[in-house]
Amino acid sequence: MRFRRSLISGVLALAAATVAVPALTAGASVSSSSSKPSIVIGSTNFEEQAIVSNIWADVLKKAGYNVTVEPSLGTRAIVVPAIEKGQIDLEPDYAASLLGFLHGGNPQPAGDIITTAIPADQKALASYGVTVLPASKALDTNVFAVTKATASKDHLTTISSLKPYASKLTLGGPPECPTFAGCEPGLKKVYGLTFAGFKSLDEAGPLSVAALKNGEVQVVELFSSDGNVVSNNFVALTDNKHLEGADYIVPVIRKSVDTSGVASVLTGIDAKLTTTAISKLNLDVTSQQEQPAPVAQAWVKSVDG
Amino acid sequence: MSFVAHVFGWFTTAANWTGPQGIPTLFWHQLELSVAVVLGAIVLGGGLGVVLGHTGRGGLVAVNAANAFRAVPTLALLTLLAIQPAISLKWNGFLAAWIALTALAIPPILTNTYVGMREVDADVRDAAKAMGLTGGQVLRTVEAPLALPFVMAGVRTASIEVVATSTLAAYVSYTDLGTYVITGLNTNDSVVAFSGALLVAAMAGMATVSLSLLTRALTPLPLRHRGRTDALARDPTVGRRAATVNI
Repeated sequence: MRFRRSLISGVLALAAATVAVPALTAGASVSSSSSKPSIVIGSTNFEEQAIVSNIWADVLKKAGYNVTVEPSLGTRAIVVPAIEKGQIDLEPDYAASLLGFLHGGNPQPAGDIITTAIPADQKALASYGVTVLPASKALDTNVFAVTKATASKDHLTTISSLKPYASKLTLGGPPECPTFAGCEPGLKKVYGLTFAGFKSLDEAGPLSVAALKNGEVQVVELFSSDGNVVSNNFVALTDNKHLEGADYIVPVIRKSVDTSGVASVLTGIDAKLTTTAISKLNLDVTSQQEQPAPVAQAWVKSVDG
Repeated sequence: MSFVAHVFGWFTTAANWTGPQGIPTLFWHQLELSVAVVLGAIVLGGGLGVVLGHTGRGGLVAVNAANAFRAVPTLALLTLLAIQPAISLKWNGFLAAWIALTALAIPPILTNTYVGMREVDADVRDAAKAMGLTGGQVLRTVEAPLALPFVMAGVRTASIEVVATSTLAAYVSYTDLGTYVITGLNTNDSVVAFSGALLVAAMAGMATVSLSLLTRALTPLPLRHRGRTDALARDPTVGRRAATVNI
């Protein structure tokens, strides 16, 4: 998902270069007279980022900051230049995908591990007066999932733990999986796994879920946070050798508003924002047809009192 | 290296010719699906067309209904079928793909069969009846041979549509040449996507040529020289003069 989104971003990069965000300049140029800065949060039109933007807006408002949320600005190719130019002050992004975007759309090895991804992001953004705060616990990337029954029978927790069983299991994934580095070839190269067979399914959609449920495949590629793993009680195996990018949700923030107060508010809530938590919020928005703002508000209330 | 050279390189890579993702396997899968779909559409659409054309009743309504059905997008139908538990994933996605594509292939075959049957000269049909032929005999020996060129034109149209569209089956877990196209699109690898498209075009070309030959073989001899050769056929002196020269 990350991957495709970054592709789309790339395609739109040219368009974005010519698109101004005039509506935002007014909000951003308002300088706060008090010690607490005004903050404009921008978000792409991806639901997950809209939810996180609203969560941050909520906790910052509670802490007494003047916050505006600019939702649905478009793709990363619009939002990142907007924060670089100071049209917005804060945006939720994904550590590894952002790093790839900042390097012309080419995935960077530093993006594989969160501890190297964030410093690399900070370095690439430093000249714009933008930095990246510590990551939340919410990871949005491709994961390899098994059913709870399979996981408990074979004591599976990590991708490595599949090693003794892989030769008896069928892997399911999107049609490009057998040739895509992040899928079957990566599982073989990084983890030494050779499966009994591969079954072509869809992009982590209903076919993938159905195939794992009814046992046509035993391991399937899904997205970590779109709700399919949580709602079906699947077990997402930990990517202990970092095959996939470390796409944890991170706050990308202008240094001008990155006060210790703002940082502590954000890291405080991000510590509670786990992959499971964001998955459930995503489900509320995508399958219950709820709006990101009230969903975010309800969650903040439930964890932050 | 130029794009063409990359594509050539892809086609000459040995690994692309073997295994479950190799060209022969995926080409065969696509051929299997396409043939099964066209055969199904001939039985269903052609059968209905013959009945309607022979009896001459309700044909216009049926043909128009079938043509209206052409507006249904195949991808939408495929997706709809793919999420039905009873159909989803059956025979590696073959069933969902077969139903969706057969729905696509029926209208041209049905329409052409019906029109072909109605185009049979009423005098010829009457003459056959006057000679004492039964309804079935009229159909077999008079109407069917005369309608055949129309029917086969419909089959050819349907076949090309089906070969081109069966690439969509790769979205519902069937693996065929569409797998290359989707893989190429999803991994931003235009060489793979283009190579897949080339293979599909090659299959569509093969289908056209082989169906043209089949049509010719099935058409009764007296009907074969219509069209371009009509003028020659009508002027017997042309052939004779040429023959004289040859001697």
